[in-house]
Amino acid sequence: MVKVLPASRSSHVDVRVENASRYLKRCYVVERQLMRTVAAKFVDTSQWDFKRQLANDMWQASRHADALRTRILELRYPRRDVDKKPDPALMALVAECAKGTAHAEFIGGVYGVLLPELVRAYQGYLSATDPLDDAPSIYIVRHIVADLEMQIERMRALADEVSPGLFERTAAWQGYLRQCCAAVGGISGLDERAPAPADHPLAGRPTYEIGRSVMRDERWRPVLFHLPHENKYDVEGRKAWQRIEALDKRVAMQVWSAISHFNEIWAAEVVAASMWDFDDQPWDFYLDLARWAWDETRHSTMGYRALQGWGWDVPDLIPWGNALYNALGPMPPIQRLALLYYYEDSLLRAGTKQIEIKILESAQDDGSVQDMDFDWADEAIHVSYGYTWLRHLLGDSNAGKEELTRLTDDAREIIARFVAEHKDDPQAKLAPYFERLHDVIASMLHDIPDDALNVQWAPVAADEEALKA
Amino acid sequence: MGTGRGGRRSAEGVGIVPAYIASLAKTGAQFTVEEGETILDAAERAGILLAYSCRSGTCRSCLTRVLSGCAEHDPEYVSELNIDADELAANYRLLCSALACSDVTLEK
Repeated sequence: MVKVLPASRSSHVDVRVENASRYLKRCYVVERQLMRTVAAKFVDTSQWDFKRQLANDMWQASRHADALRTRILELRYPRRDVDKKPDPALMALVAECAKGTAHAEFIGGVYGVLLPELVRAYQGYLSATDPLDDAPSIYIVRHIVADLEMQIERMRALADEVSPGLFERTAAWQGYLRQCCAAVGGISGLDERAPAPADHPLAGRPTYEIGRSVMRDERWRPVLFHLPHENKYDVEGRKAWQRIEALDKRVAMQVWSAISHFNEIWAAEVVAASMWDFDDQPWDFYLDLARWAWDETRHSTMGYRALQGWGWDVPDLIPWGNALYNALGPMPPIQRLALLYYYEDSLLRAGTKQIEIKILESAQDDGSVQDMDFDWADEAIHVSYGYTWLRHLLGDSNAGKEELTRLTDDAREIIARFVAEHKDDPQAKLAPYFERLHDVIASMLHDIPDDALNVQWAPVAADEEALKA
Repeated sequence: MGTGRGGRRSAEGVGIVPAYIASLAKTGAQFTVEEGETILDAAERAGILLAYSCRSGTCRSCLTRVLSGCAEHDPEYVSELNIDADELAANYRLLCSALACSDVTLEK
């Protein structure tokens, strides 16, 4: 016999550092894989309202995963294992979610089943762990639950608005995923396991593959390009744009920046696709690219908001192209990322954003100035991401630099060929847009004092040299 | 001490704070760079537009070759800068994080 004091308090059963970290690791695995899956489905989704929400939720998943990962490491989880050895059954569960068709089944499955299951798992954790001993985890998990509940609420409201009955129509898919979830013992893995629904009519679909071409929201007419500097063959489009420029260079910049922002969605798509295509990179790669893709979606939304702010029927008046992503689609993912980096880096090195802000300031367009200013700050982060991760992927050496140059040059040539191949395509013609837009703009102009703005501006046609070929 | 051409009285009123002249090779513009001031800040103070973005040495928008003279990165942040050893050896500097240590001519 030995002597001890009575227990100071009754402790929750089974909550120790080791099983707390294991539990949170399961949540991390799901958040991380869900983040990559939502990124891919964001690319596949053309419906604009859903697309924006998916980008937001994908980025939040990256923040959740990052906070969980940090906490897991604090809980003595080995650093060498934290990003490895995910539970295969959990990975299979998320992979099954990915098989839902975009956008209805996927949204029904994620927001009707997977996210509610995640919330249930987090709530299970909160109810089991000790509020003093494990306070840092509780802080994180409570915030994640608040995010997820908001995500579910917003997506359901959005579905009611733009696709009524989406959740009802996808009830069978959701039922199947619920059975898949029950078969792995829930996200926590602690529930009683049900048999796998191998014989379910919706089971056995082929592995999900991301789309290599994108469509725009069906409210917009199909068009390849969005501004005249992209396509040197569209002479009529350029002439029509020059009529807008002739109204005033400030007016042209207001409209140019809004259309340009709105079309930045292609950059979000390139980055989001990279998150899916590269499946074995360090965690920070995904964290950075998630931010990058979400930022570009925000920029696109900035443009949309500005265009709507003028009271315009945006789908009718504004070209929303898909040529840049689609021309890049067949390339290796690193080449797409290299070209995007090249474009963004060229833009900043030329001081284009600074000049654009000066012109927008001269137009006294505070909203557009603010949008451009925050866009500029984001883009500075993005070129840093591009520089860092392309060096990582290609090697931090002269050979790596040479390969980056080669990839970029090849990609520029591919884009130039795509432009040339589509020079007679009716979808490459922008004049019909700009002719109508000119009249709409002209009817809205008002006078402000002339500040004698003396700034030269030209769009950075990053592939100008290649286009000469 | 600097060249004596651009020096100014220190805040305490004693001694002269060094200042150097930065010249842009392409435009011929010149401006004074005070001690402890980044070349980018000095250009802005002079109303000269140079491309930049992050102001932290990470985006590389302001990467520029120093054609003559001496410019060094702020030693306090040098480890956080996105610039390669071979770029440094070729006299490239990030103007947002570089201090003049003599009169300099920049490839701008």
